[in-house]
Formats: sequence, C-alpha cells, structure tokens
Amino acid sequence: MKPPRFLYCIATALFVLVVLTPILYMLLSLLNTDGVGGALNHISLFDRRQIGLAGNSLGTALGATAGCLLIGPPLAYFLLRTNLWGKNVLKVLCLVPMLIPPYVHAIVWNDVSRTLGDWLPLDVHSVWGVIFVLTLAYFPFVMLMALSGLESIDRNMEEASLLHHGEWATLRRVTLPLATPHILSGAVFVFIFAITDFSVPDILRVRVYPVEIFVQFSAFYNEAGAMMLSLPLMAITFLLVLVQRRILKDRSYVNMYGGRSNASHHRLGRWNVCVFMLALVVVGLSVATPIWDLMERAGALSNYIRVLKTSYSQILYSLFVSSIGAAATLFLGLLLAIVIERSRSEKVKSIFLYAAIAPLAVPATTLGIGMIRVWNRPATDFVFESTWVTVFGYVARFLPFAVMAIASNLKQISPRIEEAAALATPHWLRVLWRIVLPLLSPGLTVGFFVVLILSFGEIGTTLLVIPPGRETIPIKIYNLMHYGANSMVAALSLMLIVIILALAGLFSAVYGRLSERVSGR
Amino acid sequence: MIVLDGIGKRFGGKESLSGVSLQVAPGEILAVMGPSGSGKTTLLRIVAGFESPDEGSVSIDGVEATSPEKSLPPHSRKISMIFQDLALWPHMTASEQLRFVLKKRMKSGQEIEVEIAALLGSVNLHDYARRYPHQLSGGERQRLAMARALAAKPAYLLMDEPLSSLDPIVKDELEKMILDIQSVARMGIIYVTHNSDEVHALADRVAILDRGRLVRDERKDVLLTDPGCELARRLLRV
Ligand SMILES: Nc1ncnc2c1ncn2[C@@H]1O[C@H](COP(=O)(O)OP(=O)(O)O)[C@@H](O)[C@H]1O
Ligand SMILES: [Mg+2]
Repeated sequence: MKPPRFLYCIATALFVLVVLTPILYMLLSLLNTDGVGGALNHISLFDRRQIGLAGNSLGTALGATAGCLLIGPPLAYFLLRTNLWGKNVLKVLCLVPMLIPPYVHAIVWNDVSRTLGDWLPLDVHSVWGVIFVLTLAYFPFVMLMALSGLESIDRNMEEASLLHHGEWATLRRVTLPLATPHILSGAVFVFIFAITDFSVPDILRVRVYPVEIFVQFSAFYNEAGAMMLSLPLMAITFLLVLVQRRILKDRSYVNMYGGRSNASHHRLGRWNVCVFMLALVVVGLSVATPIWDLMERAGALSNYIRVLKTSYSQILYSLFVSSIGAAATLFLGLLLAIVIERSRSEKVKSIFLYAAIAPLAVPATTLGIGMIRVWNRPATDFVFESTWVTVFGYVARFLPFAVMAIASNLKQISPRIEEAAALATPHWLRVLWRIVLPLLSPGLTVGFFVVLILSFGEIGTTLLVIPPGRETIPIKIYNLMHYGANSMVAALSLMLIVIILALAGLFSAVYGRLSERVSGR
Repeated sequence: MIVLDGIGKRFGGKESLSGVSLQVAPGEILAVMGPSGSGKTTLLRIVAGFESPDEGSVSIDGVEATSPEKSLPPHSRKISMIFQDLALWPHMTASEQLRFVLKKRMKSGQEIEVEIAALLGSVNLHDYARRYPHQLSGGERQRLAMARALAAKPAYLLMDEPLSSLDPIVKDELEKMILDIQSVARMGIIYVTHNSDEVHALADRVAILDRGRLVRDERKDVLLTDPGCELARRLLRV
C-alpha cells in the first residue's frame, strides 16, 4: 500500500531538524571564506602531522577490521555448523564483549598494561594497542553477521556439495562464498565503527581524527579546523557505506526467522580440542579479563555501595534518557523505513535510504560540535539546556541502526499482505496498526534494544553536548577517570556492564517470544 | 543394491518413518509415492546420509552405510541426489557447478573440460555453460541439476519430486531424457513423486508410504492391476 503524503512530510521534517541540520551546518560553515581561511591558518590537510594522523586512523581501522575478520567468521562457523564442545555457552559468551562499551575495554587494558608492565607483549599505547582493543570489542559483530549469513544459506546447497566432497571443500567452495556478502558487510561496519571511534584512542593516547577533532574544538576553539579534519573521515566512511549497500543489495541484515534445523553437523574429531582452546582464549581476553580486572580494582563491596549511593540518580537518568532516545529513534526509523521499502518511486527510495544511513559517516565528535552550533543560541536554549539535546544526539547517531533493523524486517513482509488488508479498509493507518506493526514487532524490538544499548554507552557526542547537571553514566565514568578515581571507575563500569547485560537478556526474551508468534511456530 | 532394513526416524517425538524396509537394484527405477508429509524426503535424506535413522540400517552394495551407531559420509556412498528445490549453487555458472563435482573423480583439467561439454550436451544445455542458475528457465535448471547429479557417475540416483514444478510439455521432454540417460547409465534410481503420470512413464517398481509406514511395495504392473488399498488406488488413479 502506498504510504500517504503526510508520512513523507513528517519523516522529512523530523529528519532535517534532528539529524541533518547539525551536519549541514558544519559543512556550510566551511563555505564561509572566513571559515576556510581560519581553518587553513591552523591546519593543512597535507602537512606531515596530518599524514601521521591519517596513517593512524586508517591503520587502526584496517587493523581492527582484519582482526575481527580473523576471529568472527571462523567462530560463527564452529558455533553453528560443527559439534564444538560447549558451543551454546560459548555462543552467548562470545556476544558479551560487544555489550561491554569499547572504552571500558580500553580502561581495562590500560590498567592491565600498568599492572603487568613489560610482561604484556604489547604496547597498548600504540596503534597496535588500539587495534587489539577494538578487535576485542567488535569481533562479535562480524561473528553475528557471519552467523546470520550462515543461517540464511539453504542447507540443501551445502548438502548438494557434501554428496561429492568432504566438509572442508564444501566450506571453502559453497558455504563461504554464500556467506561472504554478510561477512563483508559486517567488516565494513567494523571499519566504520573503528575509524569514527573517539573513546578508545583517546584513553590509549593515540592520535586519530576523532580525537584531534575533539582537541581542535575543545582546546583551541578551532571549529573550522575541526570541520576540516572531519571531511576526509566523512568522505571515506560515506564511500564505504555506499560499497556496503552494494554488497548487501536486496539481502536482509538479520535473518529474522532463522534457518531450518541443521540435520548434519561437521564433526571436528581431534580438532575439537584445539578449536575449543582457541575459543577459550578469545573469551578469556574479551570477557574474563575485563570482568576480573574491574572486580579486582573495584575492591570491597562497600565501594559498590558508595558508588551506588553517589550515582544512582545518574544511573536512573541514563536509563530514562536512553529509553526516550531509543523510542524517538524507533519512531523516526519506522517512518523512514516505510518510505524506503514501500515508496513507489525508486528515486525517493534511494534518497531516503542514503539520507538515513549517512549519519554513520559522521564522527561522534563532529556531530556534537554541529549540535552545539545549531542549538546553543538563546532561541533554542530550551533544547540545549534540557534532556532533549541528549535525546537528539542519540537519534542522530543511531538512526541508521533503527532504519536498517526495521527495513530488513519490512522487506520480508510481502506487500500482498498489506494489499489484502487494503481490500478490507481504506485507512492506511488502520492497516499500519493492525497488520504491519504486529508483523514488524521483531524488527522494532531489534531496533529499540540496539539503540537503547548503544545510547546507554554513548560517549563521543554526549561528552560535548551534555548540559551541566545531567550527566549520564559514561560521562561520569569519563570524568572520574580523569580525576584518577580508580576503584569508583571500576565499580561504575561493572554496573554499566551489568545493566547492559540485563537489557540484552530482556531483549532476547522479548524477541524470542515475538518472533515465535509472528512466524506462527 | 541399496538395502533399507527396518528404518525408523523421529523428529521431536513425532514419528516420521517407522519400520521401512526396501531394496533398490542397479538399473531399477523405484518410484516412492505418498501424500505430502508421509516421509518421502526424509527417506531419501537417510539414504544419502544427511540424517541418521533412529532404528534400522542402510547398506549400499554390501557396505554398511548407516546404522544408529555409525555413518558413512555422503560423499563416500556412490550416490547423487536431485533435491526438491534443486539446490543449484547460485554463485557458480553451469560449467563451474559441473567442474566442482567432476574434480572428485578426475584430475586432468583437459579431461574435465571434455566431460563438462559431454554432460551439458547430454541434457541439451550446450549453449548455457556460462549461465548462472538465475539466468535459466525452470526446465533448464532441472536439466542442469540432472547433469550435476550425473557428473559424479553415481551408482544410485535419488530424485525428490524432480518434475513437480514444470509444465506438461517440459515434463514430457524430461521424462524422455531420464529414460534415455537411464538406458545408458543403468543406475539404481529412487524416484519420489506423487504424480501418477510420472510413475506410469518411468517406474519399474512402486513403493507407497502412508504416514511413515510402507503400505505397498510391488512391481508397477502388479500394482496397477491390483492396487490393494484405497491410498494406492487414489495415488495411481486406477
Ligand atoms: N528436520 C526436521 N525437523 C522436524 N520435523 C521434520 C524434519 N524433516 C521432516 N520432518 C517431519 O517429518 C515428516 C515427513 O516429512 P517429509 O519427509 O519432508 O515428507 P514428504 O517429503 O513426504 O512430504 C513431516 O511431518 C515433517 O514435518
Ligand atoms: Mg518432500
């Protein structure tokens, strides 16, 4: 059913107001000759300093992507297609690192390197250190994408090969090529996350673009300079987003209803021990080490109680504002996804699609600066000094995830279903409410929780725009860290992790029930 | 000879097959009929080694292939299969699909290329070597799946409702082609279908499954004159 015109209007208005204005404002400020001149006084994109910066940024992003590709897809294969020991437990454990915010990983390894000194065969305060930490934080993402790729493969295609060849040949010639688009698209995401990440290199004191942008703005008030620095980053990232769209053309991101049961499993035999040990090492570095180190440092129970006493209002506020953020993102995401999937015009579809995923290309710190410029003026102080500015920040940063989750679900709902409903009622909203939304509930749930969890840990944008007296947990952790309050940082980080894990648990319960109902199983 | 002895299979407590004993001799076409859900696909998957039975055993040319204790992997069973949805590999052209299968039994590249041409010729797909599955029509895909299954030179061929989605004209052509190929290759074929025309045209023997149980197993001419039960009568339209 064709979406009504008012939908396009609302979607466009909200998108322009919340997402586009801060970004455009920054871009336009460069056209202002004074802006460019001022920027060039401080910064030239091509001097030696800048080349070092570009090298660091590209190096960490490429390195982290390679690391995730090395760990994620093999893990996915072993967890899904083989008889690996304890694979169900391992699968859950391997998702946990993604739920620990990257800066917590960084805080932990910063600390581990201080404790172990020269025993640690890696200098965490280097490009390699950033690569290491980002890999630990993001490999589950590539693993998830690989899992969904594997699940979307018709098992008969693998079996058609197993009739003639063994398991490894089948893996190489059939399974892997068919899962490659998903894996590659996961890799592109990791690259984007890594190259726009501010917190990890900031904590590990490695100079990359997002850190430099922050420094230019907050230390030198050189806004145009910050914008100049954002440009190469945004160009690279947006290009990659386009590449990724091509890879994933007409494939859904998440396989909503899972594959069919796997009849035969690849028997690993004596390899089982080796694979199991390797998986344990990965879990040890990415889950056990952070938890153990934080607990060690947080110390006695009384510390937790003290932290809880001094921070419970921020914890509640964080939960509140991320929930509002997730709900708002979901609303705008739904409108955009409907336009993207159901508009009759290909042109309209792609304009909305590229607009909706463009925020992926904007570094968190750049977005924060743009938001300050747009909202920090007398007329709009009611936004800038309230919870709204944080909510807008969350929407602008995480909208692409909501759109992708909802759109991929919508793609799987046949338009015939809506047409059948349209025969019964002429009201588009009624069809939406009674038919489309219930069928979309799994995708909406995915979108809501992804945005909720990401918002709950967000730091890059909020660090710049958060009004005084409205601290979120990540901001508090960051501030405490700079005061050297180690045990409080650790205790608070642990609480952050526990809350995120609880949210993830809630998600998997809700999602399981909803998708069961929708798929009629 | 494929010998199934007392095969039983349950999925989550629900019995899909029970006590099925059947034999297929080389050169023979055994049609397996039954309403949908009666366990035909499951039977083929057990013969191919994708599922293991909860009871009973499968032996192929005297070699124990499947029992509840151990299982010979599918690729060492001298068997090919044509899947219900064909399962053509979407990322390979027609000739690449054949090449991948041929690598199992041939080493020299030149030999393989000659064989690819011969196989494509035998199913009238000479000009389609470079096409991907999505660039083929339904009948052409069916023939490619046939060529891919034959490429391994199997002793036995399992076919799961191979012609069910085709129009009657293409169907006639393909029935002829199967008979032509069979007259040369002399494989043992298990041919799953619920279409009586295909049975009339192709089968030597007919087995009938009803909710996982084997209710008839007879020579075709015998069964046609004396269906013996209502289900057989309706399936065979006699
Ligand atoms: N992998 C499986 N998991 C659960 N049930 C299955 C599975 N495969 C088959 N079945 C069940 O076994 C029965 C027989 O299925 P099948 O062999 O596909 O029948 P047919 O091919 O004759 O239509 C059906 O009731 C089906 O639901
Ligand atoms: Mg079947």
